[in-house]
Amino acid sequence: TMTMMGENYAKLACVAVIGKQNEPLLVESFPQQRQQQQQQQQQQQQQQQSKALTADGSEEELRLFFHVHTALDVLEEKLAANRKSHASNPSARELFLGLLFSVEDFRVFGYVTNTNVKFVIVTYMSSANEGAIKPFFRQLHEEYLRLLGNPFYKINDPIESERFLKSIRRMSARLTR
Amino acid sequence: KQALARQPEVMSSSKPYARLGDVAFDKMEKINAELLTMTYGALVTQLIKDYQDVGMVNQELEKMGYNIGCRLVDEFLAKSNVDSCATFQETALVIAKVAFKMFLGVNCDVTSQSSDGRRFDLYFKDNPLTQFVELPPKCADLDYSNILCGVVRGALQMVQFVSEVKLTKSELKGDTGTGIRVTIKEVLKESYKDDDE
Repeated sequence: TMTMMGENYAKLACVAVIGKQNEPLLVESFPQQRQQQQQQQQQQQQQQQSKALTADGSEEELRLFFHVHTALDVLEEKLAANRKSHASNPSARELFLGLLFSVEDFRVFGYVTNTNVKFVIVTYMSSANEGAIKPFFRQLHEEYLRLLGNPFYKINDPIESERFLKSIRRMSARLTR
Repeated sequence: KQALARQPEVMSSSKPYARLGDVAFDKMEKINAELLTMTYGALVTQLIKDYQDVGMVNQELEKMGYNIGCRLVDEFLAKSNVDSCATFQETALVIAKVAFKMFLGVNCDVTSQSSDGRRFDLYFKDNPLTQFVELPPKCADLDYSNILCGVVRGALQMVQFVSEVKLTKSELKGDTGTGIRVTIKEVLKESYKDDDE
């Protein structure tokens, strides 16, 4: 279950880790409406489903999932374009793909690792601090490497590691300041 | 070899052993720690796949460690320059300060010892075997570092100590470090076989 830590997650709306076959490994969202409903959230902890469709937070969550999905298409396009332009110079491959697109109040950024694992983050337009996005992705990449260091984690399985989730939440809290 | 009744201050005289440990560690050839961590992790997860039973895996790890310890102790005694131990207190210090330092590169302490010296606890942080490891719920009872217990038991066996060695604390189970309890059950007399056997 996704528990709110009572911190201000306003700026970062969603972090997603996507496997090389474009399967979602982790989609952790922090919709703005959620914050106002923390108490209700705690009462509803008894429900087993982590993505339970309760209260207004869920609609926003669905929208965020949709944006992540769209982001994948844009990502693929960018990767294809990069491959063509770097065909003659393979070492210049940049992992950070920058802004993928903007929609409604959101900005969506992408990053891809050398093994084609993709990271997508969705931020709220007004408060996106773009200078912090690239280092955020680097840190996310490092956290992913730590996850891979766990022999019990099967590669391309959905991510359930408590430590990974805690780190993401800590990182996103830092991003908002 | 009978343990003399000693005051607890004997633990503060671990400095000479710590020095021996550092010197021995420096002499040892090093490998990349991540390689060790990953190799051990692959080993443990494979054992789990093969046996499907956490209890059995714990036992197998201990047995493997025992095999290693039996062989390792000769190298240890040859390279570490320790004198033979007069008391169990010294035995504990040698294992903690010299052996663990030399082979695992960790700073291990003897955190407690019974008055007769036969039972003692070892403790160290930053276990290289468990770095980045997270136990899944179905392996909650796995003694991940159990191989180390086997190593200690095997090594002690080769110097005529029959012991029981158990993992008491684990960073994977919420503790801040790795704890190992050694209980020396029996001291075997040296037995010399007849030449015509």
